[in-house]
Amino acid sequence: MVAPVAEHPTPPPDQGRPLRRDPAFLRLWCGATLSGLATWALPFLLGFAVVDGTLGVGQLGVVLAARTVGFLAAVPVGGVLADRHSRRATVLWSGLAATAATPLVVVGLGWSTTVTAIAAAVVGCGQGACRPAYQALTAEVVVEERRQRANAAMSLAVRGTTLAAPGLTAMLAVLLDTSALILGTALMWLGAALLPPAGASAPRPERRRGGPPPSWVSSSTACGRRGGTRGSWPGSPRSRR
Amino acid sequence: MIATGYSATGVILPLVSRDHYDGEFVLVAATTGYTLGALGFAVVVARWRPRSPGWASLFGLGLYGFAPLAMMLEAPPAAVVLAYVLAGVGIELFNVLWFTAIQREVEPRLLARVSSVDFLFSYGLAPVGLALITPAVAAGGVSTTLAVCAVVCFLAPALAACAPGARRYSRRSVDR
Repeated sequence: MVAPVAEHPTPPPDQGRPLRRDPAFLRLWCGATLSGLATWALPFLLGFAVVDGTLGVGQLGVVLAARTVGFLAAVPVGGVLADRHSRRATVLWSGLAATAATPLVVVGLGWSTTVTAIAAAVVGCGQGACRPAYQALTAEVVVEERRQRANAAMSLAVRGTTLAAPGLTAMLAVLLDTSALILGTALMWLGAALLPPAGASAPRPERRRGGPPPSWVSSSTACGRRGGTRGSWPGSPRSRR
Repeated sequence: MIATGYSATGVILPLVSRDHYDGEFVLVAATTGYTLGALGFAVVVARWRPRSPGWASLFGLGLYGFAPLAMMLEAPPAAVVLAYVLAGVGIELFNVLWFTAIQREVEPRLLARVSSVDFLFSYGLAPVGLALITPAVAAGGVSTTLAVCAVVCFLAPALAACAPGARRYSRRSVDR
């Protein structure tokens, strides 16, 4: 007997309007941009903390390393969660985790490097878990014919951030202290968590009858098993919204 | 490619900027040029549909090799900056076509997992390269290390382009 296959959300049909006027894509783009901006900002602002003396250079290394470890640990977990549950929910919870942990980064500054490092690791987890979920959510929100343009628009935001953000942040630093600026990244994470549109409902967990659920490794190599044409996966409805 | 190319930029570019170009100008101009190249080409690749997207994308990735090559040759500052603009253009071409292909080719129920593997290798290899490049410079010198980086940056995408389905980043072109 054929094993039941998870339902897969698909984007609504192309309604003919430009991508820049598609509310769902705009929300996704804003969320992704905010998450990229917050990701860029934390190490830059921790550099400010070194300059103003609230963080030592060695401590900065520890905090950034903790953040990277959190990121790398959460990327595969986020990928599995986003596939087994809802991509939108994964974006929400990972963004909220980063939002909640960011104030603790500030609390630990000048007091406890351990607290700052643990908080930075949680921020890194949120950042890592949301990346694959955002990637998959894009495929749920944007029809295939427009995805290249959508990906270019997302990338444009990242490049624009890299170019403009250091100068803008330096200007803001005249008005606000480092702690306030870091707290500002919590608001960015909140936006990254809340803004993206709801994807279609979560796919049911994929379980083969009588067998264990597919593992991360085994299913990561299974992309070669597809047959048929685009948008016609076995058991996949054409449109769910 | 990431372990060599990005590490050359992260570690050797500041070194070369200081030692061969007498200051931070080349460092700042090259990194800005890289971002401007990527930014500008994002607009182009939003509309451009190459006939062989896989080969175009891998060609773009290979353009990164000009960055270590220009530094190895101790090219004039403008040439180093131009190499970084090219690298930015190429990375943008690669990224956009690659992400689009993954979203198209990977079965939806596995898309986030496959993306996570992609990110894990990209981000996971970067620290490894950064950690290894300083001992490599100490052992073989700046020029030799840059030469190795350039060869890897040119060769790795060329080899990937030979894989079945690479031309259009499509399994259907292999099945045919």
